[in-house]
Amino acid sequence: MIFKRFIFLAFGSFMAVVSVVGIFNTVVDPFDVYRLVRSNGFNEIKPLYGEYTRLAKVIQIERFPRTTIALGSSRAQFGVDMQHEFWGNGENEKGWNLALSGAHMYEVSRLFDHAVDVSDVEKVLIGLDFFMFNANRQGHLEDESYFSVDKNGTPQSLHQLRQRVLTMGTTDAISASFETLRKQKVKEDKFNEFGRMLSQRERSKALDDGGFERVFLQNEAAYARQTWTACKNNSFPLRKPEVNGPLELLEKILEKAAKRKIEVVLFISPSHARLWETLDATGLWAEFEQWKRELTKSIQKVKIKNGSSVQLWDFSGFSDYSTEKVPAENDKAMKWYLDPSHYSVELGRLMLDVIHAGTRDAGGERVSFGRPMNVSTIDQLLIDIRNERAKYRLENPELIKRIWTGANKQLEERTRVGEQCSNVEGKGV
Amino acid sequence: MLFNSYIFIFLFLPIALVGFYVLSKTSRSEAKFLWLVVASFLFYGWWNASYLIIILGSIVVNYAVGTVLSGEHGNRAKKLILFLGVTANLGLLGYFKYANFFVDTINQVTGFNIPLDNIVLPLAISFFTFQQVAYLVDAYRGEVKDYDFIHYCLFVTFFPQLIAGPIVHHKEMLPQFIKGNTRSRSENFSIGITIFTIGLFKKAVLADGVSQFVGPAFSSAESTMVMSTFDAWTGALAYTFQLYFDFSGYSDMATGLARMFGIVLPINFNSPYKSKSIIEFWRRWHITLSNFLKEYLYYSLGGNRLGEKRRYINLFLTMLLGGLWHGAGWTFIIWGALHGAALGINHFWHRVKQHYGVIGSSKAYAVISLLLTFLTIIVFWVFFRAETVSGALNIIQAMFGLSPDVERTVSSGSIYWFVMLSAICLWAPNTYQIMKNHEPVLEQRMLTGEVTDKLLWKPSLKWAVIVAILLFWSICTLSSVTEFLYFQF
Repeated sequence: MIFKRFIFLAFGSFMAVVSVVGIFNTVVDPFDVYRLVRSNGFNEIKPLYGEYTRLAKVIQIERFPRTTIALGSSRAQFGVDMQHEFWGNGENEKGWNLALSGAHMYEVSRLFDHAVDVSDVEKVLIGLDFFMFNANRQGHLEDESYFSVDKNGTPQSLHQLRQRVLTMGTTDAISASFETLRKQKVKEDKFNEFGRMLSQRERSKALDDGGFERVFLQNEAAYARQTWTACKNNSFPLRKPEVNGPLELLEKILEKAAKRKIEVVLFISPSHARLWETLDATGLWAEFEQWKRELTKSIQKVKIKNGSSVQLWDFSGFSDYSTEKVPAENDKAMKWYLDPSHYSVELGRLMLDVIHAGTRDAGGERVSFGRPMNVSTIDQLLIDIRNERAKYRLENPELIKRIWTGANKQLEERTRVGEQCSNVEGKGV
Repeated sequence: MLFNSYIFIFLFLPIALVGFYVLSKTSRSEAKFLWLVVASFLFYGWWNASYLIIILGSIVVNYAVGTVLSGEHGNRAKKLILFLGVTANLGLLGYFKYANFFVDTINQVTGFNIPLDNIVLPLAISFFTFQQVAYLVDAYRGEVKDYDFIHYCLFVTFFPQLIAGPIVHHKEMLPQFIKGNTRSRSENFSIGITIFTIGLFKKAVLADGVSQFVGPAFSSAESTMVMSTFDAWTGALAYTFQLYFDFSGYSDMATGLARMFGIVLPINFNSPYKSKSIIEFWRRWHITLSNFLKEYLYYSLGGNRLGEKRRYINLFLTMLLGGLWHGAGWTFIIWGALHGAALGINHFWHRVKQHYGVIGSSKAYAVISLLLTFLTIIVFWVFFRAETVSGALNIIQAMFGLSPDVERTVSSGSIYWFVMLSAICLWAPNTYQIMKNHEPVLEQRMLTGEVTDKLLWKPSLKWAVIVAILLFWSICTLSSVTEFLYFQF
């Protein structure tokens, strides 16, 4: 009898602990996925949201369906404003910025599949970055169990249970709840309520880290060393045999969107001119241009097959904005950039203005920012950018020299100790 | 299917238990054991169904050979059958576990290029092979009764101990299957769930928690990076604790699970880090393996019957092969050899002590012995964990300040872990001592040492709450939310 009582007590205590912890995590809601209670000084600020966006954004779009979404990497996460009139939403129907730091095309395609499965998506904006298309780096996500469909499109019937377990019954969730209760200062807020990362905080961080020049140098080195490719042989394949490479994944997104009558707008991020110069110095400019050509071909292919129209805008290159001077003083912030790769939401808004209203301003003057890119315009576009680059070089000889020296140093180091990569569609250094 | 997985805890185990309890009420006792055999095969086949053919083939052949050996045959015929049976078992183990290692070694030494596909090691083959070799040897010795096939199957496949032990002996298991357990189902379940929960907590919270400090140190050592003394000690200590809580946690889980089905398993860990000598360590660490090696290898080699010199050689060989049993690699062989040598030195020291009449019963002697033993074990574990011999040497050099000291990279947060885990390992009573009033394991006599009444398990509200909290805490760690990986992008 005493043992039966023990079993009853143990089971009852277990259920009590499960209930208390589950309710606690739901109410504190550190990942901002339940939104039952939001109170100033209690849980209004979500300091841990940024560390769990990969889980949180998947749940958010499912629990709070929206018709407009933005996808891409951290550039889109910082720069795409879901309140811009480009989206054409009413006051109460803002979309979700579902872009994720470091996302490659596989992750973007998984999020797209999930979003269209759980929500009536009508319009999607996808920020494209060169590094996302390195076929060597496409693969799997560590945990895909909380997506509504698996990678083959088969429904995952237990995914919502999984979402609840992860957000209510894990030590991560518990410690995130306590952290949330502890850190309720405004400076801890890193994202807005639509999933966009806040620029201001990143600007302050750059100043705290020794100023923008220092942040630029660090980032340029990191990109040259490993972000585009970490291979000894500088390999950057866009396709790989027998696997669904990034371009194929993009085509699949476009195909699905065409079938579901979802409007798709693609854009190449307006990173800073110094990053494009670093890219060239790293020996990847030819691949970069080839990537752009392949993008236009992929879109054309889907267009012919489905009769759909997909807009593709190229904001890369050497505009008045992307050539913004990087202040040498360590207490001066930049207006349009957070680092050479990430642009501010202000520039993101200008970008959306252009996509929304075209490349001419109200007076009919051409705005020198962004170009529509397709199979007809690509050749001229590439020439124009090369010309702009030549002009930028002429105007900044010392800076260019520094960038090339820095990139070459990283490249040499990578050639020495980088990853061994097969040479599939890549090139030797 | 792992014990520390949702599917095992919330699906497989409840179904297996309910089926077992329901079938226990039927008049035919074979039904519940047949149910357990089917459940065990399902458990095993979950990883890779094709492995079922190997384990099933092994069971059928060994049962047949055992039956023949138990019959009336001439001594020579029996010897031949035993030889063939043991050779077949070791051949199977050798092929799956060691073929790649030996071919690679031959290729490296001779420069040949003998081709061999990468052979995948079937799960638990080391364990079920050893159990059945023991069965055959005992059948040859006439120490095996006639058992029916279902009982034999269950002895080999019983899922709580199938994957990672304890290595059970037919004499321990088969009589329990036949006679059953006199304790009530609710008592067995209460004891079982408590031991299982403690084991799960050891594995999921303690071992997995401290493991964060292991990987970085050993990875650095492999990439020949110079590391600081602090980092090297952190890696070695963290692994020392990780391995103990992982393996003893698994053994606890196995013991608890078996107990839920009314089966009492042999003790496998008995606070090994409290040992005051290497000899004592091997009486407390992975006890069922030590017993097997002693019974079927050390004694077969002659044990200590052939003189003092042969005793050292036999000890060394036994530990060398014990090392190789753990894994096909030079690091395991060196680890075994080091323990073999240490055991030899330890025995020699005992002789010296006896010769000079040193008693060594003071507290200081005990503390020094404990620390020296612990230090030796920590250093030896480095070989056990390292991927290469040079990696192990890199860590050991850094541990003893023999490599250029560099700035440490590991946070001092590891120290809190080490203090807490040391207290548990070196001071706290172990799971079975806490449960000692309820026959948690076979060989109760090994559970020496006083445990205060407060710490002894009782079917009380306090313990019900403790079990509930530990279980919930452990389950909470089974999933970690993937944090974002590429902030630099």
